[in-house]
Amino acid sequence: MLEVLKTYMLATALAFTFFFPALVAEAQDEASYAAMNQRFLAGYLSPAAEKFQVATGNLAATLQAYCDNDTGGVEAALADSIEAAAGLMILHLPITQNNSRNARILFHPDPRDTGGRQLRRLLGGDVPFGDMSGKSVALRGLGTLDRLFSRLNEQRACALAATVAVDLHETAEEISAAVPAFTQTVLNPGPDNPLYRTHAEASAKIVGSLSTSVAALRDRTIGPMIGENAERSRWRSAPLRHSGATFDYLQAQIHSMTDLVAALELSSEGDIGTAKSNFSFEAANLERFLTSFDRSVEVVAAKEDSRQRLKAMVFGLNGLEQVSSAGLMQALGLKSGFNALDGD
Amino acid sequence: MRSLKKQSDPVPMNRRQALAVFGGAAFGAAFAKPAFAEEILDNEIYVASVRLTDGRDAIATVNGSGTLLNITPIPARGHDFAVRGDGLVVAFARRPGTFAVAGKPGRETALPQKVFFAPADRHFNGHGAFSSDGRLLYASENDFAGGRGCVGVYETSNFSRVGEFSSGGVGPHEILLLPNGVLAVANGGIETHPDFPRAKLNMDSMQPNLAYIEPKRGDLTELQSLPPHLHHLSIRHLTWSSVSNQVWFGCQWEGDTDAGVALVGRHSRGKAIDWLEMPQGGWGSMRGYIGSVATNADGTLIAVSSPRGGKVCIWRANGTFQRMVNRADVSGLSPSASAILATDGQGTIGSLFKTSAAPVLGISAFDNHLRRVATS
Repeated sequence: MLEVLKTYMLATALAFTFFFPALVAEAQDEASYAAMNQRFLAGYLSPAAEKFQVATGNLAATLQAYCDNDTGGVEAALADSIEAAAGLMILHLPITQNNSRNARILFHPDPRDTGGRQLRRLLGGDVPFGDMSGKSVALRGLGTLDRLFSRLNEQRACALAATVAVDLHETAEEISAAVPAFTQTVLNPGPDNPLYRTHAEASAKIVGSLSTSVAALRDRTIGPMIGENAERSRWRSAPLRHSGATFDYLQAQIHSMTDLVAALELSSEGDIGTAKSNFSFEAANLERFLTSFDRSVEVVAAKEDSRQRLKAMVFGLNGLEQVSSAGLMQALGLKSGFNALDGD
Repeated sequence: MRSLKKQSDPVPMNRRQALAVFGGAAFGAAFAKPAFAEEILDNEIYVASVRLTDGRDAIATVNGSGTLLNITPIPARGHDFAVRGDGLVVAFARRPGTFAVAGKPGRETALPQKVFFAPADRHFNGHGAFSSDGRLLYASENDFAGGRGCVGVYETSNFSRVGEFSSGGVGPHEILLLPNGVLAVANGGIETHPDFPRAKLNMDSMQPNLAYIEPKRGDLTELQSLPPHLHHLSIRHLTWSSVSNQVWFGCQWEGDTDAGVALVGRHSRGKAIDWLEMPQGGWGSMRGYIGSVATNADGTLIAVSSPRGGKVCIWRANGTFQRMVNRADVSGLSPSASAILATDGQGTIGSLFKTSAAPVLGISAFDNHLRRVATS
């Protein structure tokens, strides 16, 4: 396995040496940013929202059928919803953030196990679940489904899972319903636009989502999993670990980033082309690497060999962040702002 | 051992390694003076956290005309400063950092005289203030295991930590010593944990407030909580107007982007918060984010910056709107002798009352805050 690690790190180093020279912005005008934003909306956002809506609809129906008649297919339906959710969770844009939509899809990180504690309280009682919409976001979405999936043979747990799945589907419908208005906002920037003054500003937010997502994946999932040492690993905070889907979810996020870049239909020439191929190279490496982990996060965090590979993941994610921010952003002539980025 | 690390480092940097960074060369002025000098005086000295053109993080000392006097490399991004009347400065790491650097920066001297750290179960939130007599330093800190904010108390003779008291809320950010010796604390309400850098952990339940604390005993003497519909409005930055005798504060909106709520308010002790009106473009044009707040030298004007909105708005101390200045990624604000200086994420500095801002050679970006230290 160390050979894999060495090969991976060498490949990353070579990529930086040969394919990541100082990139300079190529001439872009507002029309080209507008066209790129249009491609994002039509080629990525709309399909991603639709995919999530279909997957969660199927999950809700499958879960209800399972609770009623013990029919199968629930694991596959959950996996489809997790994969579809990843496609939206990489978007750090109002369409996924407003009304706490992203937290309603997956409440993470949750270092105090708020969701787990609330779930135990709810399952331990005998009051009807009612509508999830008024409940804490920590109790909604994939995090709760992840916890409940090993208990679907319990009637109350199954009923709650079905309720949560319906609520998740409603979140998906809400996002789909918001797409047209968000599309208009993105395509019509200006002084009175509540989000974007220029097409370039909208492009910067769209492309900037990539590096923000990479940093979140590194700092909120992989980094805590490593911890200062095996004893202090925060593996319990890994998303979707109860159903063993943590690394599938991370892989789906990386894959979604690749899909997003593909949807932008960037030029394959010049510095933009170089940045695009650097991104694809790094993302593909990371996706391959993510398939090599045990499904148990606890096992991964405890074994020295897999801890080393987690550290290599950080190395790779640093690279992907670089090719996203200093690479793609710079080649496209976009700026995210030093002080404006995440607030302080 | 607590680690001092850049967010992207896979292997944490320990304190010895961090100290080695601080021990790195601070160098004197070797940079050309920018073209403008206008009303800003060469003999005014300012400090700011910066990103250098070579990618390193540093504390920069610049003069009022934008000449870089010296730098102090630091191991991660810095944020704001506490400044004492005799020129002693303490620079704080950006949250959730654990280091602070103290010294008296001047024309020929860089910052570090003493590096100190937050205790193992706390981290700094980027801001601090000196006590009235200058013997104590108050630092906004996060008790992340307890999920509460606190104010760390440090003896300035050796920067040992001698105590702490509750900040009166969660996520304390800027703290400000008022003329009567009371501390005003902006409790942003956002819970964070250093194991999950910069992740906001309680967006659904955050409860920001403006707290007033009598620092000798740590007694909370007044708490201005926000109403439920404003629970996503994180109070972050403060300044004091000696003309209106009010705390002025700037906020960050963590809710839906189209809410358009007021982001700046002012408060007189014992009264309700007075929210400011924003005539030009409405609050939406500030993109939900105020980066810093400052007065001019005589306290008659209050400026607030919005890096996301790319503008600075200025009010008179009586609450009437005065003007708006457009500048991309602008954030740092500080009174100068006759103006208000502003810095931005593109590495430029300049008076708000002039149209030009000049790049500072060697600096690619100024962080959120700018502080005037002294007139030499």
